This record gives sequence, C-alpha cells and structure tokens, in this order.
Amino acid sequence: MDRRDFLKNLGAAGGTLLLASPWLSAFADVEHTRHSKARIGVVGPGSRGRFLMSFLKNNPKAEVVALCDIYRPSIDEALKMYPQARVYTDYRQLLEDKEVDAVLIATPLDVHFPVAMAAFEAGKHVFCEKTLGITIDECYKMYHKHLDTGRVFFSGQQRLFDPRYIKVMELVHAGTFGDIEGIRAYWFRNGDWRRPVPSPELERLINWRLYKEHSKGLMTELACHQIQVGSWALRQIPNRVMGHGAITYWKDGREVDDNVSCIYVFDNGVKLTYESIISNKFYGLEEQILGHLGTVEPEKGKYYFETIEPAPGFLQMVNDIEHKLFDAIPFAGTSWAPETANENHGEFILGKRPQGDGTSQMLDAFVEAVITGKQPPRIAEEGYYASALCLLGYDAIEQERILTFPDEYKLNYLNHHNPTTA
Amino acid sequence: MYPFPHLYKRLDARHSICYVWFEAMHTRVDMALCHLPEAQACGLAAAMRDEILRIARFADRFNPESELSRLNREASRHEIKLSAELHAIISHCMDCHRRTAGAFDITVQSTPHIPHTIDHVLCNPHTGTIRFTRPGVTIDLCGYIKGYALDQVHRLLKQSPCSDALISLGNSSVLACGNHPGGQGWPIVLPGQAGRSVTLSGQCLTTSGNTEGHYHLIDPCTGHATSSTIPTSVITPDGSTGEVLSTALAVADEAQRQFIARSFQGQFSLA
Repeated sequence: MDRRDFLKNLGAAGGTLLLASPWLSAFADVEHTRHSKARIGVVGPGSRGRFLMSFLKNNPKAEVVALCDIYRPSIDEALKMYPQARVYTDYRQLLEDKEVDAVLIATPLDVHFPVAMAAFEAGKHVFCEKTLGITIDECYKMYHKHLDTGRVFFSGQQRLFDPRYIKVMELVHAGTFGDIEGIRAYWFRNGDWRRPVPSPELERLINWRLYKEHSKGLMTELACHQIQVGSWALRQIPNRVMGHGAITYWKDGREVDDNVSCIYVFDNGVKLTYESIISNKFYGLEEQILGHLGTVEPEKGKYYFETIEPAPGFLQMVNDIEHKLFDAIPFAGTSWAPETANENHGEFILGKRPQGDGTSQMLDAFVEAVITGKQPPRIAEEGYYASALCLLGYDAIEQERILTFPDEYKLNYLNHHNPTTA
Repeated sequence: MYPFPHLYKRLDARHSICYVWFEAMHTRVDMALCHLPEAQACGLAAAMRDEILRIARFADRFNPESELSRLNREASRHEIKLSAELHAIISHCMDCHRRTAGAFDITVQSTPHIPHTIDHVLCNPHTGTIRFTRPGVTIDLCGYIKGYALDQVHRLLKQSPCSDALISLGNSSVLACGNHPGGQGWPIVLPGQAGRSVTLSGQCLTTSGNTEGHYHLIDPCTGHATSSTIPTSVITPDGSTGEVLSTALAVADEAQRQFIARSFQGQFSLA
C-alpha cells in the first residue's frame, strides 16, 4: 500500500486532515524508495512470524533473506514462503550476515531483549513484536540502544497504523466526543490458549505464553495493544496502576493468570480499566473511549453520540473551513426525522465495516523506514510505553499493590520527564 | 459547561467557527457561529437555544402542557384568551391561509378535516381570544413554527456581535447571515436537486416535502397525505414566510400556485 492508498482508505475528509499525522511520515519518501529493497532477517518464524512475513511477501520493496529458529518445523514452513532465504539456528550468526538490513523479531517474549540488543549492536534496524521486553528495564534499555545506535525501531503495535484508529484519534483529539472521561478496554476469549505440542519436552518452547519465565501472559500478549490506545487517546501516560489476577478456569498447569483486571489512573483522575478473561468470549475485544459527548468503539469501527450526532454536512463544513476550503454545504434532506435518534446504532468511523487491523500498513512503514534509515516520530516511544505500561500492570497484579510509574524509566514524552536525560 | 455539544475551531487570531448542535422542537438544530471567542459563541448559542425552547413550550401541540394544547382541548367549549405572541402567530397563519388560496392550512390535523375547517377558528384581534365553532378542530403549527423560531433567533443574532452565521432547524429551515469564512455568502446544496447549490446571505432556505416512507404533508383540499417525495425549496427574507410558502407550494395545484405567486410577489424565489 502506498501513501495514496493509505489516505484513500481514510476517506477524503480524513485524508486532508491526516497529512500531518506522524504515523504517515514513514511514507514520506515512498516515491524515492520505489526501486529499493529492505533485506530482512526473521528471528522466530513461528505462527506470528509467518503471519508478519505474509504481509512482507506482498510488498515488492521487502525481501526476507534470512530465517532463524531453533524449531525446525517453523523454518520449514517459512521456507515455503521464501525458499531462497538463508537459514540459521543461532541469531548471532544471522546478525553477522551482511546482506541483512533489518531483523524482525517474533520469538517468545523472553528472547526479544538479547536479540534486539545484539541486532542494534550489529547495526541492524529492528522490528520487535510486542511486548518489547519481559521487564520494564529491558524495554528501557532497548529504547535507549535504538537511540544510541540510530537504528530504526518498530514494535508490533499495529493499531498505530490502522486507518480506523488514526481517524478515531483525529476525532478524539479534535474534541468531537468531548472530554475523555474514561477508557474501558477488554479482551475476552474462550479457549485454553494452547498450541498442539508434538512431544512433551517441547511444551514450554511451544506454549511459552503460559509460563512466567517466557511471558507475562495476558498482560504482555493482549493488554499491550489496548493500553496503548488509552494513552494515545488521552495523550498522557497513566502514572498509577492497580490490579488483580488469578487462574480461575484453566487450571492445567499453566503459570500465568487466565483472568486479569487492572485500573490505570491518569494524572487528571481519568481511568483506563483493563480486563481479560479467557473462559468467556461474549464481549470479544474492544477499547471503549468514553467522552462526555460520545463514545468510540474502534474495534467495531463505530462511534456513538450521547444525544444526537453532529450533522455530517456541518461537520464537513467545519473541517473544510479549517482547511480553508470553500465548498457547498449539503443538508441531509427535507426534514430530519426525530425517530432516527431514538435508536443509537452508531456510525462507522470510516463509513464501512472495519477491514484489516493495521498490520499491513505497519510493516509497509517499517520497510520504508529501513530503506530510508529514518525513524518516524513517536513510533518507538509509543511502543516503549505500551510495553512498559502492560508490564507495570503485571507487576501490580503480582505484588497486589498500587504501583507508580518509576521515574527512572520515564522518557521525555508527553506528560513524562526524565530529569537524568532531559 | 453548556447544555449542548460544540466544536470550536480557531482559524487565526481573528477568525473562528463554533459549531453547536442539539435537539429542540422534535428536530435537530445546528448552528455555525463565526468569529466570536468560544465562550461568547457558546453563550449566544445558549441564548438562541433558550429562545427556541421557549417557543416550543407554548407552540408544541404534542406537549399537553403547552398553551397550544390547551387551546386545542378547550376552544370548542369556550373562548380562550391567548398570549399575545401565540395569538399573533395564529392570526398570521390564518392570513397566510387566505393568501395561499387555502394551500397553507394549520387545521389539517383536525378530526375530521374537511375543506374550510379553518373557518371554524374564530380569531378575535380585539380581545386576543380564539374560539372553535365545532369540536375536533386542531391547530397544528408544525409547518410554521420552525420558521418563526428562526426569525426570533435571527433577531437575537442581529443584537449580537456575530454577523456571519448559518443556522439550521431540522435541515429544512435554514438561515444564512453574512458570509462563510472562505467567501461570499453561504453555499448550500439544495436537497433533492442533484447537487445543485445556491448561495445565501441574509436569507432563509426552507424546504418541504415527504421523505421516503414518511408521508407527513397533507393536502388541505383532500385531507389526505400527499405521496410526492420531490422537495419544494424557497428562498425568502424570513423563516416564517419560507415555511408558509414551501408548505403551500408542496401541495398547491396550478391555480393555487399562480395565486400564491401573485400574493407573495417579490417576497420569495423558488430554489
């Protein structure tokens, strides 16, 4: 997808407004990079890694030239997509490969840190699946290694590139839904979260998400995406978190909770509540953004106004005026029928049912950044805080305490200031 | 905090637009007020909202507490003394009935409605009273009151420092004052006319017509709802005249149209 297609997906009005979006700056040089190629090594081409590779496969500017995994079946599957890729079983060897410009890390969580740090040291650009590290300290070090080496650093926060979410944030930040008074994020599934294991000794290797030495469970694998939506909407980092977690249903030897709940508190008292249960899927997943004038459900791709919605014609006129356009104002028809306001089914954010989740755009942006060597603004910082906040929530659950965001792990970003790095 | 949502956009140091929307008179109201500080724009919008709600309180036949409801309930039994404002509104509507050759009729919701039902409304200008000479007469101001409200809002606007504004009541009654921030007048796409637009300034655009599945326009001559969904839009200096003419022309036959054209000559144009 090029920048034009990306804007087209946002709709005409949105496209005008979003020209200044930092998330789009990754596509700024798209014409100049037309004949260039990003050579990518994938560390951990398991199911998630191959899912990401499937998007790279569609991008003529990307080529997966190397694969690394200690689990041969994953390599074999990945080679079906890229038969010419060189194969490694040790990521350090892959990093010595001079033909590799960038690495895509999709390993179990506890392996992200050593691979990413070594990759930066080796001069590679890094795309690291979320959560970045298994501790806040690891995430912080990864972020600073990115700064020190000047290499591109993306994390797998695909919502940052999802046209639907970008449009939502544009509307939220314009005040369309009023003051944001709360965020309710949840992810409900009904399943044991297990993958088939061909041999018992591979249990922890394949079902790494269930064991604390490899993962922090629901907080790092699911919450990481959704908590970032809250700080994106509020343009603030929450500074306090409390929570509780337990294994209430899947008592099958796993170590991570199957039932978690956290409350993140922003400085202005607004709260983001997070809940994940994997023994009931009725409500699915959502990040409900609650303003005093309206509500957004970006996963459903819908927004709802508390009373009546603004008139599309007037809204368009206001946007046109803001962008110095003088155009005729359309009215809806002869007369507004009051009964249409009685049932609030909401409106689609992009005028149609959601399609895609931003992964394609995210990987296209990464490829562009690898070719140009330019880090788009805010991407690394949003990725860092998404990781740090879900890990802080995990710590609050584990310690059963209200935790405050540690000063030593703050960046100079949004409402955060780190006096040691300012 | 204001009792309505609003969007305020500062365009530069001197220019801005404030968009306010809310429900009133069983419809939606949208207001774009230009070049005022946010608090002043919202304050003006609040005053205009209060005015619309005030009018709705006495002129809403669906509200049993309204002055109009009381009139409809009791005027066939005895003479009702009305507020000067409601009396003037009804008197004006009855005058417009004559000036439209009966095409504009505020008694079409009567039970039963037969031609000349309106003749059963006796309006005494000296005593400020009204009496119905038969039971079942109902005065319905739905086809008029939005235009009247627009005129009262216009009066408030003229008293304010805001000279550039666009105000819509239910999409069908629109007042345009001064200029759009980007040019002369306010360009409005005409409903149901394939994107054709007009530019208004100091004028009202009023549209009447049925929407698909919502046939509310009643022909006073037959007492039945009309089935046409082709909207009729008129441009007038004020909202009340716009309501009268758009409603009348939407149901008028050719003879009535010619009569209306003569009767309101120079006071409107068809959009």
